[in-house]
Amino acid sequence: MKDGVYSVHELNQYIKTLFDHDGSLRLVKLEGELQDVKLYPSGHMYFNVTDEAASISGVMFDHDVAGLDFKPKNGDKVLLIGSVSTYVKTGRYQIYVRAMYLDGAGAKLLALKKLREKLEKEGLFSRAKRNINRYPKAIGLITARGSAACADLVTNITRRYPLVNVYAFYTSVQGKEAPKEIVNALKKAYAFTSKLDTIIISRGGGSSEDLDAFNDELVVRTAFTSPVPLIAAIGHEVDFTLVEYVADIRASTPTAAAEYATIDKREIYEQLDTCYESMTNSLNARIQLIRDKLHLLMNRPFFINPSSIYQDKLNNIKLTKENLENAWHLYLTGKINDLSTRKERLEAINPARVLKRGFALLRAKNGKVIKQVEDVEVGETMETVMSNGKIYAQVTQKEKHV
Amino acid sequence: MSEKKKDETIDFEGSLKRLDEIVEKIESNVLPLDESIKLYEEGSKLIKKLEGALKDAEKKMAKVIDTNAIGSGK
Repeated sequence: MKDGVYSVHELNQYIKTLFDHDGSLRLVKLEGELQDVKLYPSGHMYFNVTDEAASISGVMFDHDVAGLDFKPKNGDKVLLIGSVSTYVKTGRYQIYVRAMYLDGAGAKLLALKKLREKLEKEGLFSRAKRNINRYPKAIGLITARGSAACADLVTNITRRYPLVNVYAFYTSVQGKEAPKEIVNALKKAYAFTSKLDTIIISRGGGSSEDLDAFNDELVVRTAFTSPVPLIAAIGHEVDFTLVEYVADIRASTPTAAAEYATIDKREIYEQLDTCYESMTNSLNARIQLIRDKLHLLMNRPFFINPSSIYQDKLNNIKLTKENLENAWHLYLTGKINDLSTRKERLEAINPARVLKRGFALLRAKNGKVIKQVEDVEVGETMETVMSNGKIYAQVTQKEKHV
Repeated sequence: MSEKKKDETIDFEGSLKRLDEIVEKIESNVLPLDESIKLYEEGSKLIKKLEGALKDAEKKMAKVIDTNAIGSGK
């Protein structure tokens, strides 16, 4: 907004917020006659709603139109439920219809609404929902004999969880007798000899079926008193029946009800496999760990070659022994060398050898070796020792070198 | 009335819970090895038993028991 001046769009947008913030326009119930009904290829439906004094335009979008159980036409007296708002582009207000009921249907709806409010006030809908045992031993079915719903339930329940016993408490599900029969079937199920884990109350889907039995006050009250969890699969997406409000679980189809009521055996098999795998893996891992530790220990030199413990000492002894031997050998060699040297020296001075070379040893009469001239007297006889004998010679003359 | 007798009823849910417990204990690696091995044996047996019961039940033709038929027999 500029200087207090609206643009058209701004104004329309503002007016729209006024409508949208008005609580009493958000949920409007309107009675009137349809005029100018036009169904567009988009699936949306446009019309006027009139009475003797006035008219309002209305629109119903494709999704809601698809849920209608009758084909609206000009002149139909209807009860509409929706909200009133404006269309920004044109600034026109209109009713955005979410649900449409033919007159008469409207009265029934009102009665149903009153019953719903009454039961709600009594707390039938607000009780805490109970958990379903998905591993049931016995399931009770409240359904029509030979119905598609019954077949779907049985097939899916037994396929998913074959361990369960399925007990059927057959009843009609529509018609005048249906409420009474349903009540009896429920009571029979409650009193059944085998304790049921779950009760499923179901009727097949279909378009615009008569769901009155499941809105019957006694049926609803009886369903409420179920001693075990109750699953309702009434098979009508648009309207909730009152039985579905008191049930612990509302399933959209009998198959869905079977899924709520049981665990799939494949899930169990999978779980068992997973358990086995985790169990085996972690135990194997643990054993491997121990094995690795053992391996590490076994690889210690101590275990691979036990003699390594005393090998060092053994080596020491060996070395010492060798050293000793070497030393002894050295000592001995030394001694031998010593001896041979001495022998050679002895040999060198052996007088016999000298004699062999032609020298002679002279001895005086007194036996002393004559080493110098003074040791002998002229005329004295000397013993001259030769290599191979002795000669006795007389000294005739002495001459001393100067 | 001949209601087929189900094999000694197994508490499936309880057994699976026990199995989970066993796996958890083994995985925690805090128990002595011999205890873990004992648990492993128990777990294996339990798995076999549950699988067997499930397979047996699959083989049997599961069918609905008409309580009206039972009622008239009484």
